[in-house]
Amino acid sequence: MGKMLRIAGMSLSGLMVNRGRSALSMLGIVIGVFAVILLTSLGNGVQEAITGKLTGVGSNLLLISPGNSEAQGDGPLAARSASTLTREDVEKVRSLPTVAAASASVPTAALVGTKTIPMTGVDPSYAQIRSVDLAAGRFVEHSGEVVLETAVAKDLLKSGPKDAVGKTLKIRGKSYEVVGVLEVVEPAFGPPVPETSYMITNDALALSGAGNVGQIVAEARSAGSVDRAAKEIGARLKSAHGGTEDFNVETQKDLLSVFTLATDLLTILLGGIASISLLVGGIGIMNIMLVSVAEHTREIGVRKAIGATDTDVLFQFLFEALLLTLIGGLAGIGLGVGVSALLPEINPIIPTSVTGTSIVLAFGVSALVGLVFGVLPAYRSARLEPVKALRRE
Amino acid sequence: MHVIEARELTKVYGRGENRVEALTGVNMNVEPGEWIAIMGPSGSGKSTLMNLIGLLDRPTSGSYTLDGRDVFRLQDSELARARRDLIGFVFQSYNLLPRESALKNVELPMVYAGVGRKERRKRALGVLETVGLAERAHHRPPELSGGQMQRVAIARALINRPALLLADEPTGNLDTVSGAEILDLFEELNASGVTVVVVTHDAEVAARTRRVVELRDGRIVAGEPSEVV
Repeated sequence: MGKMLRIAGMSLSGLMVNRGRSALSMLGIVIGVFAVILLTSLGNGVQEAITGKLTGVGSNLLLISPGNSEAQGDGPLAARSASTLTREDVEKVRSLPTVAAASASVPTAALVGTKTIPMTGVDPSYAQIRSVDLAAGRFVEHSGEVVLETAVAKDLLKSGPKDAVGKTLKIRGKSYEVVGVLEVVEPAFGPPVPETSYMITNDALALSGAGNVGQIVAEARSAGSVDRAAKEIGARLKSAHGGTEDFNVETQKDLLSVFTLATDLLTILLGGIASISLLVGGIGIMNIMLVSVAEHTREIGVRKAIGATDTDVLFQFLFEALLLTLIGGLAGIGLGVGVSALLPEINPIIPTSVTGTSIVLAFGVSALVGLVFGVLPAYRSARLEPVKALRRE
Repeated sequence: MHVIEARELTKVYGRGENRVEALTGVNMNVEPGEWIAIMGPSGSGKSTLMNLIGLLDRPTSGSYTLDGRDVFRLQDSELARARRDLIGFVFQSYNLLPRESALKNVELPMVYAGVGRKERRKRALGVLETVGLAERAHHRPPELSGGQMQRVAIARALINRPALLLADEPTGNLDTVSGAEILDLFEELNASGVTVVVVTHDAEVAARTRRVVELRDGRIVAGEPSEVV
């Protein structure tokens, strides 16, 4: 043990002699580990931001979509044309004890003058269920009312949110009062909050000529009752639809798992890209170690002549490579953690989150890089024949 | 028991047209406490013989017993241990580690032998005292004269109490005065019981020893009674 320690000491003094060169070859590892830590922390940060936003929106949320029908594909058109959900279904969902509120969601489009605007027909409780923010006015409560997007209000009425409220729009010959204007939705991660204006469900159905609603959104009484609510809704609608399950009930959890999968992939992808730089750093280590072995050929011969075994020499150079990568790895971790902590300070939009796993992984990988890329030079040093090594000037 | 007992040692380099027989059927005995010079012009095979005796190289054929051990069939790692425990090398160009102090250089063979730190230091200081360099223990080789560096190298060679001190042209890089001092040191060591073999082409060095083994064209031509037998 003491012998190994002393040999490790030799490795260290070998590094100290060529401080500049050691530092430079270490830099490759520092950058590699730094990149791995920073990029995985960005990936994790994005994931946590999404998860946070999703739970902020309300983990009580349930989405009932038409499905398992003959319609293929996604999007409002496919949903509308093939929707199997009716206004009665909305009432049935609403009447369930575990459901606090439910609203239809009818995607359509309204022609105002020469412009077509996306429009969704909803029930008044929709504002509460989806946490709709208004810049001015109130949400739709009665037939003949609309709530517009800020951009639409500006475009159609040439007025800001406050001035738009109270004005009138003509859609297909019918007059609608603008009762509210939506808050501009910040671009953010989360479930698809549609960019649309709102009217009452029946108005939308009349406008689009569809008989069925596109989607039902519901709110469970509590976060804990979401799964029970999903089951009850499923059973209730199934019996209402004559035993066929021609719809899907999605909970926030399902949505979360989709996003988690996506961001997991993102993290792996980013980490993978960063690993390439770690690999390049490792090759740099191998290169410098080969140079070091070549430079110390005679010294290796002397060591062998006075009794160093192949293993002793092997360990000396392996330790040297390991020390390079471990010190470099530690510096890279420090730098990565530091920058990860600094980035949100500079711009709060950038989410970062360093996990213990990524630190341990980065450290382990840099040690592995040292071993893998140190083995060849070390092995070469160990196999040097003492006679030939001693002859070298 | 002989320190060295070599039988029919042969070393061949290269193959086919490039085949060179550097050493041909050498027989040689060295008794404990001897003080021998191996002499010969360059190309006589004396370096090859030294490498074989010093376990730095393997013979093509023949047998070799060092301090009662048959070292011919040893594995590389066992050879390294035999070099460590049985042989002390002194080179023409000292071959000290330039970055380490004299003390650390002398300690090195004990590091590989697994001797503890305190014991290493104590023994290294003791041997440096023997070669008259105790007050220079913490100097690095570049701060020492050639003669002093060779004394450090001799201290390093003696540190594991080897059966054989093997010196290759130990005075070759030294001025006459320092060279004579080194030979004096060898003589003192030999008087205290250390077996010393010096490889040299210098007749004055050979003249200081008690027996001269002469090599020519890969064969021993004088100084080895067993060769005649």
